[in-house]
Amino acid sequence: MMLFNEFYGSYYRAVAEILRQALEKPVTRADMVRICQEFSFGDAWLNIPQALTDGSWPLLTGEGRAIIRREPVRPLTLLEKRWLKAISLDPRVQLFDVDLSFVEDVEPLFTPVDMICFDAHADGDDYADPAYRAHFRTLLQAISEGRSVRMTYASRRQRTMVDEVTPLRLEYSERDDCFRVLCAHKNAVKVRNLSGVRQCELLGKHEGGLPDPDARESRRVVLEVTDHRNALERVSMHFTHLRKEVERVGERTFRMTLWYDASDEPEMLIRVLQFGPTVRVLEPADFRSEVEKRVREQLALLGMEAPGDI
Amino acid sequence: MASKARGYHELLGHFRRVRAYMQHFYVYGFYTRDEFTAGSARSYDNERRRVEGWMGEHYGFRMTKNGKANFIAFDSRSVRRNPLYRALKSKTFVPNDIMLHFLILDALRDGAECGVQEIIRRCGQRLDAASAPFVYEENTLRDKLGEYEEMGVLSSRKQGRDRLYRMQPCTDVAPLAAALAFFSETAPCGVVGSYLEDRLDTPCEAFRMKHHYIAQTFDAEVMLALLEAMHAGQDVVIHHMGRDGRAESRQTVTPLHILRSVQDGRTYLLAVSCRNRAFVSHRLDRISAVKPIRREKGAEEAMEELQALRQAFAATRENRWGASVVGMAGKKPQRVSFTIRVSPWEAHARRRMYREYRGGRVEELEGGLLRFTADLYDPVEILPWVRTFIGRITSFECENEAVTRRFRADLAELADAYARQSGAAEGEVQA
Repeated sequence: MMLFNEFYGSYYRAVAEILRQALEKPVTRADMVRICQEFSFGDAWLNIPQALTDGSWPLLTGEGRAIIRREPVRPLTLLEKRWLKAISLDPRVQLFDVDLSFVEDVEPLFTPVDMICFDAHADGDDYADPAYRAHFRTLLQAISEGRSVRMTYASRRQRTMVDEVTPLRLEYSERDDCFRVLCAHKNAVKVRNLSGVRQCELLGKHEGGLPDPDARESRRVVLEVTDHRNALERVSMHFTHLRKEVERVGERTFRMTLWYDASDEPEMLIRVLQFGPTVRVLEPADFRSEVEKRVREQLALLGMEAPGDI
Repeated sequence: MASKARGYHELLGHFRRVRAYMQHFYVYGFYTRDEFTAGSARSYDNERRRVEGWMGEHYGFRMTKNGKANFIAFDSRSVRRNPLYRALKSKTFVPNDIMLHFLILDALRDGAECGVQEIIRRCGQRLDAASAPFVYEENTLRDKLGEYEEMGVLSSRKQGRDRLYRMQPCTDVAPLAAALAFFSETAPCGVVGSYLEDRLDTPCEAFRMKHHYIAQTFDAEVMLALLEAMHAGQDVVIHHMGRDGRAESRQTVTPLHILRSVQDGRTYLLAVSCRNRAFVSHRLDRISAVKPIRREKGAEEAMEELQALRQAFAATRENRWGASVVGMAGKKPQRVSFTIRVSPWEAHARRRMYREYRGGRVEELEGGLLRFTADLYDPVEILPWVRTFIGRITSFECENEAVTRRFRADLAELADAYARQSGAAEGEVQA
């Protein structure tokens, strides 16, 4: 079974779109370039119009019409069906109102037994909870249709709030195994745990502007990584999800700069600490001071002598 | 026969050619051409150019004293779709492939069941209107029909000496848009979900991913080969590569599970070595190739053995922390225990202990202390997690004294590192 196949490639996708438009009216080279830029990437906008017009791929008439007679479509491949079957076995699929009965007789590409996650948190969201699923679907609908909701929400400290908010995104963290909903409230973006939503009622379409859910306060930390016990690889892999820059500063020493969300600072601190002596915070000073404070307190708790300057 | 089309050098024949380069650009991002030893300088330049084309705004470089260091860098929380999938949508092809793709699917679009000659006739009708002649051989068409049948796009049946082909029904995936948006980012082999999403006129934009590890995109082909072997009860020869992408060694194993870490994004193969029947685990990003081998056992016997091995592995659940299988062969698990202090207003630390304890046990002691205990085959694995509690740990003990010594030595070394840094900073100020 081929995963890497031109059948799924961006060139086929762009050509299908060109042919679709060429069934309605003749396409020009400029149309082809525009479609390639939208549906493909890289040099496709150069290569595809060239091949379609120089006789390499004569799928158009001389007038720029499609030689095929119907809109190009393709059936699902076995690989796609088997992947969908595997998805149908995932507990999170219950969140979505989908009918996957058309893959009932297909062998799944993988099963929950094939894949073992060994470090999942014990308090992930309960996707089987009917109320949770209902709230998820209401929020998904609100986001898709640009509507607001009246949300009753219980915070971690069990304070109950009722607000009218406009949901902007559903944010999922596989590390935490939970969804959070980013919503606009009084022109600010609020983040709420989906598990804390008690009631969610769909309201009308939101009028007026909305804050950008992706506008976040970014912070920077600079680390010195000593490549001992394969630390460089471990640290690099661990922080791949963040924007980072790595620079070699010595034979086995590297300077790594990471950009993270300001709201994640406590989490970043403990994630840096886990690498022990192979990672040292260089900047900023307040981040470094907090690490030093914790190390100092730790030495005292274990009755270990602290070096003079820490 | 049409000749190979010009100019699509950005496409490639085998994804493995570019995999090690992309891993380096994305995971490390500091190697220069001279420091990357897995390929020639010319290969490096070619692959770098491809990656630059695919990654667009996510690709960058900086000049260092050793040369130009290329990197792929972005915060995966700020992208709605995994951009690394673009590399898997860049397979090369020849004009026959793309021409026959559109001609065959259009010829069979009306649901008719057609033999090869009828398909040729229908393709010919369409080609009559083309801007330029296109010539192909009948065998090329037959090969393409066979390939599409194997992929599940067409079905066929024999009628006399002829074989009749029919296109499979086209399923509308629009009602799956939200599920595809979510699972294409979170499920194994998620690129398949991305292929499906490419069929949508209006993809769902409702989701954003946090802590989104996508480097396993590069390992999708390896994972698929391992899953297929598991389901067929086959043994495989796995080829390892080093960090630099160079081939290192081979091992014949019975694959059992794919182990995934959601805390650091690594993926492993859990298998049994065919040499000594011991459990082994290998990172997927270090497996360069997977070759299934013929088994002497029948399929049923092989599946029974697979189930027995999986059960034996599951029985060790409470004695494993991560993906390590060190110490599992003939050794007893070793007790590791540590205690943390948690003030009443520090609910987050208590919550963290209870959510992250995996197979261990947590006890509430007097005086706001929490004790964690586990019996692990490889207790060293737990040290990174223990260190996340630095500043709160009141005791740490392990039956393996070397682990206890290492915990304390690492702590002392960490303190020394910051003391040196503080000293150096003061010196700078005085100077």
